[in-house]
Amino acid sequence: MIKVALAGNPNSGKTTLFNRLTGLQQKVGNFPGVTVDRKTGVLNHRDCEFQLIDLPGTYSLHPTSEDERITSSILLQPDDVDYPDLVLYVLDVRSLEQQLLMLTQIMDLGLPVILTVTMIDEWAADGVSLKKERLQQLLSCPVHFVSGKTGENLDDLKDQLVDCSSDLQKPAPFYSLQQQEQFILEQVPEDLFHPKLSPYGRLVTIEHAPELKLLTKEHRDQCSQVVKDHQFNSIKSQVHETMARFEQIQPLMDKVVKRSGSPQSMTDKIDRVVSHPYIGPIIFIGVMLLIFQAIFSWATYPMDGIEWVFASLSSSVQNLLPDAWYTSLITEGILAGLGGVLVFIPQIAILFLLLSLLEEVGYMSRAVYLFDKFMSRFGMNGRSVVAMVSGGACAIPAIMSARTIANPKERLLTILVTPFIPCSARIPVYIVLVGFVVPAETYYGPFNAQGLVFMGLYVFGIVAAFGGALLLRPFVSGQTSGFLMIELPDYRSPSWSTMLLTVKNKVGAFVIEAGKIIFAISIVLWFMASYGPGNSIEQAAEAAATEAQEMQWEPSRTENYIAAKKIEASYAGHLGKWIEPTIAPLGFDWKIGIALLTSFAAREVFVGTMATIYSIGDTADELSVRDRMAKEINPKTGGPRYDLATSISLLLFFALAMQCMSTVAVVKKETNSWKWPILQFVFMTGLAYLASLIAYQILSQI
Amino acid sequence: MSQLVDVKPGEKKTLMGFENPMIGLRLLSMGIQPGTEIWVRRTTFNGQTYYIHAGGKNIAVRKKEAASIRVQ
Repeated sequence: MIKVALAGNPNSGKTTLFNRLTGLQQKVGNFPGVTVDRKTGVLNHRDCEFQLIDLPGTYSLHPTSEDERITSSILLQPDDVDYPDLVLYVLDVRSLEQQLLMLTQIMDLGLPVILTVTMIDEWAADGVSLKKERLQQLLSCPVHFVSGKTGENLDDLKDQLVDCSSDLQKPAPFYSLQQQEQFILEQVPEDLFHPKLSPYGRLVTIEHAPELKLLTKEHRDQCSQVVKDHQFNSIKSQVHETMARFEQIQPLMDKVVKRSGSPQSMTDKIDRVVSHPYIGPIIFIGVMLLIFQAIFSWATYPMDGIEWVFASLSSSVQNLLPDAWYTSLITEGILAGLGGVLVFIPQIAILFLLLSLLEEVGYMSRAVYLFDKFMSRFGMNGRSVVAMVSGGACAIPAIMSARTIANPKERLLTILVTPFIPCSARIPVYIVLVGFVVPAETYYGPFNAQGLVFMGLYVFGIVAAFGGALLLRPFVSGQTSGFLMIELPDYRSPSWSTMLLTVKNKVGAFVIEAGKIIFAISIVLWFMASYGPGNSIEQAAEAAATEAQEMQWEPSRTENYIAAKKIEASYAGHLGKWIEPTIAPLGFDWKIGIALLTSFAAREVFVGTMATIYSIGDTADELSVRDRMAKEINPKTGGPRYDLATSISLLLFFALAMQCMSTVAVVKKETNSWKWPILQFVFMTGLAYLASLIAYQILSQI
Repeated sequence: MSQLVDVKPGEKKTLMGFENPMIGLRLLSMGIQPGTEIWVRRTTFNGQTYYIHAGGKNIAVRKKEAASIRVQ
């Protein structure tokens, strides 16, 4: 099997070509230690098997940002699992000479290279013509023209891969090291370096030694020492090298490229509006509202469908199987868990379809441009706006969308604060509770008071997210982007296959990685709500049945009453009572305690649990739950249980606490560690406790 | 010689060099070399982020980055 790495500048059409070559045979994972997409795929052609990897887009082997470091660290370390046998260098002809910089660097590493020029359809229209044979001769490496979109000439490229792999040839060096660079190289013993590394590769290794993880500590220290001892100005040398390369490239280009007409006019016209200082942000907010609308309301139809399928499955299983523990495990544990995973697919699919469309056409970098200053104040990125707006529908796809933020610190902060944005699962809880804060038919002028409270809760969530970012900023290690300097690529038509593959990869990764955690927690929650210590559940059920018989209640009332007594006797009930002293200062009793525990499955479960606890059956809607809760009396005060103080305290708790196992699971997946979801859980729930405590203690005094 | 921050949008200039070598290296890697034509197309409403055109590319830079780009 031959390892082929696709390298090239950002926006060079590299990923489209990668998708063309590997199709559905690709896997998305993480590079070790970082959550940057590591896309690999298999290509079989003429009895040859190739393993392809799509390296993060970079301008140069001298990295200036953390994601760019991945590419240079792979190409500089022959011990890396992803170190290629052959590099497929992808460039887009419109800025040919600029993109040749890294090609010449890779050639100097001694890696066999095939040059692939993409977007041949676009540049013909731009009046660019390129002499292929001449370029091939001047660079002395095979050159290919392909169209990533239509797949034109793709088979020739595959043939070339097969031909090249049987005869891997090291290219001739392009850049000759300066005297000083040569001198520094001689100061580090040659046997420290991997024998495959060329002299230029060794020089770059010395310049970037602290960032190369596979080097031994001794090797790294020695490189740093040499740089220090000889006062080698690494940056200056990199600048010099880059300039020298361009000086060599420029005369070559004059021989191979012809340009007529001025490209980019379309992009300029669009950007006059879309990147306008005032109209631009308005358009962006409009686009974001459209996305919000899409995941908020369009997704409900397939979501209702998925829920319906699982509800019918569950009831048919209940009808088919005897009333035993395994029936309850299947229906309330396994099926509920599976449904709880699959129900997120519509939102994830719709969000990523729209986001990859925006990414493909080149719009996303405009969002970064427009919101860079505002978001960088909070330690975040222009792209964080997208995650936060999507979080208004659901934090799960929103957190997954943060992956496009290249800087690790900015991405982590975005992931940590996005769950503060009020998601749709909070709405049923808010609907139930808001009635206890203000009566339904109250108006302040033209405004409905409940509507105002609702709006207040949204504003509160958004403020909490930005405030949370400021609070957490010092605890997240790493640096926020020292600089912006991103390219605003020309607008272009999207590649539909790339969009669909993005959706497929995102949904697949969610179901497999986050799904198993959600599933496991569902089973635990089912167990806690269905089992109790010893035979306490059976006893409680029997006692309740006898009681109901004495009262001569109708069957449905009896059933609801038994369900209420059963959950009280379960582990969840015990746990609810056990935490009562802790939550009493917030104005909560053990019944609310149970609901807080079970709603960790998902916030909206609160309503269902309340319905069970107050024995009104599980078909109950929000309003009947609210009516029943309104009748609940607080034994200590004799007044209503859900008075203003308790209700506001509970609202604040739901606004701030991390009451969502799926978010925990997806944060674990996206940060690749348990540290951050646990920290996030403690931070959010702690903040919720504090806010509820203060609110209740103040409000219950007046 | 002036800095890119002092140049009015639309006014075409020649790139002379960089005050901060890291910023210089990044722009150089993107193919923006001294001697190339450079101008500011527009800024964001708060004037903190610059939409510049250089070396045939559109690039977004922060104000302090624009301040380290020397032009003539």
